[in-house]
Amino acid sequence: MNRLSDMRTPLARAKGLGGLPDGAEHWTAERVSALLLGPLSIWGVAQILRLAGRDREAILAWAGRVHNAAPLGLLIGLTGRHAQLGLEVIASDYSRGWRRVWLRLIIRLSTLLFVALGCASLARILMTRTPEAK
Amino acid sequence: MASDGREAFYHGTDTEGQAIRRPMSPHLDVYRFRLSMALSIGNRMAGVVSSLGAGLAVTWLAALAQGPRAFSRAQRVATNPLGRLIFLGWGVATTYHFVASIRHLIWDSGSRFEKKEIDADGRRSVFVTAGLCVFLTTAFVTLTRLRNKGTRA
Repeated sequence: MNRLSDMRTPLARAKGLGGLPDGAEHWTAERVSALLLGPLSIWGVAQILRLAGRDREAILAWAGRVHNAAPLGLLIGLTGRHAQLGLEVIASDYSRGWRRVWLRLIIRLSTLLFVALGCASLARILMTRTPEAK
Repeated sequence: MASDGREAFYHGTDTEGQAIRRPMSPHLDVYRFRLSMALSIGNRMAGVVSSLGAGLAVTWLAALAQGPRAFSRAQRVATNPLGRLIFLGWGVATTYHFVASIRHLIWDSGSRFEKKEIDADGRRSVFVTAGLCVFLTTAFVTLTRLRNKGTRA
């Protein structure tokens, strides 16, 4: 795993001009999140087809079940993480200096906000639909 | 010195950090168009579109959690022609990004790097993406219509 960071020249590393400040961790995290997102995305597409044309009550009942909410939460979290990693690669390819710093900050914050919004929504649905309320 | 479209990109900085006009060697305009390069940049753009679409999807989920009024507003936006077009675009981008990621994971394992293999897999990925998109869109539209008919009857 150290081979990728070793391929940079000492000067590039010293100047911080390499692709990213870490070694291969970023690259590896991108692949791992992609591998996990594979089956989860297939599940997600199946759920979209399952819920297509259904009304709000049916969708709420679906999201209120733990065995649907858990993979949905995982899908949202991993999508946010994978989007963050991928967008950072693009930002690091096409920007430098302060622009890159700002872009990475915006990417981190917006993907974090994405996950927070998803988790908060899911939590609200689960809390308003307690088993007793059924 | 050549005065063409490339002029606009001749920005550089000298060792002091001062802006300087610095010509570039031709690098983008000297290559013949190949499918692999369109697919490569397409995968990046598909990733960005997927991310933006996921942002809209999570906003839709927030509206679902918020209440009936917020949800009906979200559904009005999602089912108007522009909303449907955006949903379709998100679906196509995500499908292609999914297919291209399989190719990337195969490359990461060290195979399918031969020029012939890259060309063949590239063409395959276009057909697989198109097939999946047609199938999923048909399934979604059919299921939506069937269920809407059921509620009206």
